[in-house]
Amino acid sequence: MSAAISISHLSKTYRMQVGGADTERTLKSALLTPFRYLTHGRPVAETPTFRALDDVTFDIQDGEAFGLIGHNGAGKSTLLKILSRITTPSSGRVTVRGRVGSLLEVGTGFHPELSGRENIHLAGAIQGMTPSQIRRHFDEIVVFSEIEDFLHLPVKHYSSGMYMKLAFSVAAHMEPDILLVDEALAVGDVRFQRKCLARMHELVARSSVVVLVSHNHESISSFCHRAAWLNHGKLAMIGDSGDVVAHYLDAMRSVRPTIRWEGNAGDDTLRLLTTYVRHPDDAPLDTAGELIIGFRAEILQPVVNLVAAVEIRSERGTVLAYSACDDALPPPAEEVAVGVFSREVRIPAHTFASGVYEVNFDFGIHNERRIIDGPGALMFELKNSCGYGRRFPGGRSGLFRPAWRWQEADRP
Amino acid sequence: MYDDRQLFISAATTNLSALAVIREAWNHRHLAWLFIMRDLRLRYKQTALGVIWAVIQPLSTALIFAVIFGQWVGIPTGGIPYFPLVLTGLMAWMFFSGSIQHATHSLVANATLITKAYFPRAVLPLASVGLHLVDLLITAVLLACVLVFYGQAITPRATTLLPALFVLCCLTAGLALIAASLSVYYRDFPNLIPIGLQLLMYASPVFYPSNLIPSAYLDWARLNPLVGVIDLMRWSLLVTGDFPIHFLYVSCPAAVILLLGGWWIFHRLEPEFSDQI
Repeated sequence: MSAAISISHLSKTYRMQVGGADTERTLKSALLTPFRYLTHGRPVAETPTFRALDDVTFDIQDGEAFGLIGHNGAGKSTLLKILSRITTPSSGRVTVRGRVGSLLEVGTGFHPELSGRENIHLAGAIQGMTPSQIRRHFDEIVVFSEIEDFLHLPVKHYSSGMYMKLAFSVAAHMEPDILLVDEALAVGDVRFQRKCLARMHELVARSSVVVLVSHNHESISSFCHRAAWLNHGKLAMIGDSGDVVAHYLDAMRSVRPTIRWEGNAGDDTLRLLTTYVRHPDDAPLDTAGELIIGFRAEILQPVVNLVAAVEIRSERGTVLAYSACDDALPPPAEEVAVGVFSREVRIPAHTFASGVYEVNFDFGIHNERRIIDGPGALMFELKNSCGYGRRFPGGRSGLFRPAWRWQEADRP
Repeated sequence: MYDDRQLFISAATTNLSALAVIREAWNHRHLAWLFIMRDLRLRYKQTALGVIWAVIQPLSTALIFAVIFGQWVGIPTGGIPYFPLVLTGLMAWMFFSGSIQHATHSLVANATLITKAYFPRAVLPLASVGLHLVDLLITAVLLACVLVFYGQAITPRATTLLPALFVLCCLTAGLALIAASLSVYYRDFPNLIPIGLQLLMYASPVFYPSNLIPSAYLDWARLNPLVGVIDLMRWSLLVTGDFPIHFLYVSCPAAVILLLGGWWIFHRLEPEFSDQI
């Protein structure tokens, strides 16, 4: 076996933007230091930097399904972006043998106004398929996506399930030697997810390489042969995927829960400023109390079809619940105006069992782009101090411990 | 299974030679074509008149100029009918300014693609030029009809239209690459473009023949490569005196310099696009 991907001393440094506004990109500074970008290749500004990847070295072999795990911001996505040539490393080098196809976000290259048919051609070409490849696989893609009847409709009329199915189908027929996938397994319903997994197994069996980034540790340990764990940009561990996941989970358990996040993340439409999970009376989180999960963001330009949602995952990365702040409202979505945008959701007491849970925030524009994916993530621990289920605490390890009403059976 | 080519990715560069970069862009011409088709579809989607707009736009502009400058002001044209004269100028100008304006926003408008997928980024501004080349060809058909209407004979000279258009495409493409890449870095830049274009329109013989330029300014005015291009286009279609020799010693070298320079600047800035955008 030879290395399909060989990563050697790879580092990537990002400059942090100070004060939100891109003060250094104005024409004034350009006139003061003309052609700065051209002469230096990259600017020599004294801005704080952030090491997304720090001296990472490892190989991925031919025919291997390889997983990447780590907390949000550990450098997994940056690594995929370097491997797919979207961004360049700051130092170090990668040798790639074979054609790389990447699926970093479902629906890359899709345009909402174009029909499904037109989008297959466009997205296929953007992801690196040649015209003949697209023609050859067109029918397969359509059959795989299960949306034959809607092929002539603009994809803006698709449900998000249909949209994701079509997007995955295009990516799954790229025939790359190396397929990079970022958290895209959660596509469509369970049956379709199985189909996606089967398709990925097929790709691996054909001696292609699949590199998978996922928060779902179950799918990493079952699908991947080996895995690497990235921690703050450094390679923490590499080896058998089951072992790596187990060590990662052990380490996560010792991490202190974060129930409040403050920062400034997003793009020129939305900036996420605060996220939190709390008890209504700011008491310690408990299964007997309500949980309040909320965020505060700033809208910088009016936006329609804004998705603002939370996702709750178990410690093992299984998605338990997903809830958007306008789930209860009928379509169409109204425009969200410029200004502060803050919402919170109350989860009734006695919903989750005691344990550790992750909260991720999902902000984006429906069928267009994601704005927040990672920043603002929280982790909380629920204690059971109220005594519910006190006779036999723990029980079997369900993730929910609802206060359902039990009574004597009246119909024996 | 693999093709034997290896790709090395390291700081600021890959092991691809300049030739390989151009070959890679050429291999993505299909993608450029799809971007052009996408933008054409989006432009005329849900409009009642559809592609007819591509004819109405130059036609209405030419008519306005013909009324104001041809009739009211009475710009001397040396016997050439004003309407075909201004339509020839507009054909070149609308292609040039439309391409540059579209290219300026081409990278920023497709930021989600640039941060989520790899393809040679030059495809985007070049597709902007391609999109307006389609408009130019439609205008050319319109112009041919106008020439026939005015009883203008098409002489063998008309073949020189091809080199004129080729040079126009090259210099537009070069400037489109520069405008697109600088707009990613300097967010003020896109605001500068319309002002620059407006000045350039008056400095170019769009709605007047270039023999109207006072001889004291002529040498300076001809440093603008568009002067040679438009003069040659008029010379090829409408009979107007001597061959515009400045096309050869200004427009042609300018096109080569702008295209190579534009490519160099773009290639130089390209690796950082996805981090800057």
